[in-house]
Amino acid sequence: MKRLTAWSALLFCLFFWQLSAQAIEQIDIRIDQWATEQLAAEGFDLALGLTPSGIQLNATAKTLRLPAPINIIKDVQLSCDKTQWLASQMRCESGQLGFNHAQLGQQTLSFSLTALPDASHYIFDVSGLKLAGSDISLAATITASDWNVRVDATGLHLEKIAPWLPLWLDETQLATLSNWDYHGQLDIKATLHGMDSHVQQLTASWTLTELNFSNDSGTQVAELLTGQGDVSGEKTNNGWQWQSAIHLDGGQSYVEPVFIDFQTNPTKLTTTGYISSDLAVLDLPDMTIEQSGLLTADLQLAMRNKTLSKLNITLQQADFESFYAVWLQPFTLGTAVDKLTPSGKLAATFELQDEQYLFDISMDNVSIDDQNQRFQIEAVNGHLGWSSSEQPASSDIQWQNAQVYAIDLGQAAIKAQSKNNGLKLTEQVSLPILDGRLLINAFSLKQRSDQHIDWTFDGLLTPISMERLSDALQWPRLHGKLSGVIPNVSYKQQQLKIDGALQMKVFDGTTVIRDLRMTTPLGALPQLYANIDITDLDLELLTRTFDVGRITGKLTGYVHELRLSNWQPVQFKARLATPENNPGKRRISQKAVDNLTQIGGGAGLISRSFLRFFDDFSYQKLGLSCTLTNDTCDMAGIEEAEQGYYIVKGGGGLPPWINVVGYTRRVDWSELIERLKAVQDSSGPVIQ
Amino acid sequence: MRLFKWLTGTVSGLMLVSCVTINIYFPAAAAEKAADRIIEDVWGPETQPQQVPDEEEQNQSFILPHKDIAASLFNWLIPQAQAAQANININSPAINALQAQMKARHDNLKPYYDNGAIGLTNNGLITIHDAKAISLKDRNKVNGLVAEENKDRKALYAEIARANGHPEWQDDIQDTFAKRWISNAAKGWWYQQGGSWKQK
Repeated sequence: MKRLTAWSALLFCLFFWQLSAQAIEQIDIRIDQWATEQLAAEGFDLALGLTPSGIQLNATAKTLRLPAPINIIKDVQLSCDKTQWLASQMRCESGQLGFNHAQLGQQTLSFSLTALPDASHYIFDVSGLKLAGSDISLAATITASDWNVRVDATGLHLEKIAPWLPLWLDETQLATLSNWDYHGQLDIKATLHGMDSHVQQLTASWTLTELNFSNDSGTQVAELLTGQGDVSGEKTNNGWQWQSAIHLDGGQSYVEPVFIDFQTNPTKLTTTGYISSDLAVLDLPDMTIEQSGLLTADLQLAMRNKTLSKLNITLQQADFESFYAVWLQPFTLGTAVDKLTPSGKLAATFELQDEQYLFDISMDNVSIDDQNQRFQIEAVNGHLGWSSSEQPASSDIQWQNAQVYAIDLGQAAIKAQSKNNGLKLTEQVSLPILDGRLLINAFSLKQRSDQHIDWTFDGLLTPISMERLSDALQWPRLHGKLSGVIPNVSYKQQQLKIDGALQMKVFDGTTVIRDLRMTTPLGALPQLYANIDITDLDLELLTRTFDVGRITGKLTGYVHELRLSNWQPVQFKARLATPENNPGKRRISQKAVDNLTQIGGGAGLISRSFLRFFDDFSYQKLGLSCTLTNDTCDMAGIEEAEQGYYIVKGGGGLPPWINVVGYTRRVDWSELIERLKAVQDSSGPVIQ
Repeated sequence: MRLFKWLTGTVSGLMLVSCVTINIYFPAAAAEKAADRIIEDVWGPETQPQQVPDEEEQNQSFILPHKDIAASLFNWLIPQAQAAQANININSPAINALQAQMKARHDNLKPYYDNGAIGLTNNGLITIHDAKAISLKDRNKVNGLVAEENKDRKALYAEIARANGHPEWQDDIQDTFAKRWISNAAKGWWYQQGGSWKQK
């Protein structure tokens, strides 16, 4: 506005000079120095000539000092071929203005002007202003009470605006902006309405072409962004009210960690908002984001003193697969859910008020497959609620099928309530596991202050048939049942701990698994720890199952301090032997003897030529122990023998008796496993 | 003479006991060799493993963080055979599985080591060094690779410590690997040192 006033002052001067030169055809005036409050000129030449159509005006000045932000312009040349002065009006229909400016460079403008100084009414058009590579035209109407300006800029090179930014931005803003690299083209048409030096109303529409920007660290980047938008705003008593729409339909952006390709997912953002003059109040009562093929979300947002005080988001039903890929997966990298193949539909609401939040996710036929094949869940329906405050949020979810590693979990439903960043089941859950069930009582989950989640429940495992379990785990088919009373299962700091005991009734005996715990069960290298006690397994059933040659009798022992890493045993102390107190009928077949000698890594002290006529032999006791550490098994038998250890000690019934003695004390674990596999795969011994 | 024999016998016995004590301390040189074997396998022959000099092995043993004075005093008494037994075993199914996974991933990571997008951290992990070297659409793919690699590396350090019966060695193993990854890095790769980035 100051600029306008300065120009009008200059024109007044010209008007004055014209009055005093009426009777002559040409007037030349030269002034070395001339200054008013807002204007100063050096080397000012003015030539006025009378022509039939009006007055021809030519003015030049070496330098002209104008109010900020223009400041000094040099080599000023102003001409108007047809200047008209009427009673109270001055007009220049077609004028030219040329000058040189430090930032604007050499400019040659065309203008037209109508001035009614008495009424303080001015109308002018300026075109041909070259700024930041753009052609800018301006049209302004100024009256005593208000003004209107229309600006039309085409091909504005954003990177060339930099020298002008100090005019509008403060030092902090400039410092922030200096960390950014940006270039691109902007076409803008804007209309401003104002009073005095204040803008009262603004409407603008813009088109952005090939915008590229990046911060220093490259965490917020856009490439070849294209889009259009418009905005209209109005000044209210103590702030601004506005509506805006932005439509981005080309290029890509990465705002860590979200990548959006606007060509694939054109994005439209419409906003209605209010911001107070002191920036203390920001209200966005109506905001909509539409990303085609991805989501439609409505938002309401309020900020007080630059702090978020309210945020409501309603995500309308979205395709889970594409929503996950763009908006969820980037946030989950490095967790157990960073490689999912989801399907189905998802909708959500989120409400934040005074630092307390509540959200609800509803799922419509959702399925989730872990690409690492650790878990999957199918046909999930219902909704999951979460509350950080006292205000409860309910959950009601059902699914058709689920799987954790190789274990099938059947259809189940949960009802729960969440408050204070925790969640509790409101009803007992009966979760089918293979052909048994895990009854889950008193499940509660809590989000700790460090964002980690702990959970705990009490459980009861109804019998699962070992046939199903062994099939699922691809073990040789076992017969019997697995069941357990589990006083407590807890998950804390990535450790799953199962109190109580699981009991396996297999091979007519009992196997009890205690102290079961797992660390990072869904991590890179799941660890499982347990102590296992084995009592009175029927060797006949066992040897038949594993097809290692018939042995009768019982087997008792333990596998203590067991550690499985990635589900492979890497550490334990195991001993399995015939019990002292339950002799039973103890016989061992020729095939079994041969196999045991193979496992022990030594030759049985038997004379095959003589013993080959016997199918089986009576034995006194048998057993083997192995302490596995460092991929090495330290082996021992039931009794020390000369240079070795007895794996089978003959005796008991009628002779012939045989002893199987092992000599290798330290066995490579992988080799031992190979030997066991070889024994199982072998078609039986060839006895000559 | 008998007294002399008794004395030497007792002293030798004490030394032997001390030797046993020393063995539970972190075998730095063995760990470095183990690290080099894994690194060479994961990164392939292209990187140039740099042999740890023998002097360094000796020196390393004196600056071990867990070493107490008693152990240091008897350090010179360790017979060569005894020291050689302080081995780090890296041959377990779990370690092999992680190693294979990391090796397979390296094909995807290598272009980003080469162009400086990814650098080696001073704690045995990797991180984004120059995000601008990655096209926007690949940013999250690379972030994912980095997250997976770091998850595997942490699991590897923990597993080597556990597999060798000393879970408390995890930090020492990680420190050892941190140095060896950097030593073995190919020319042009970036690594962290003393809080700043350097290029090999």
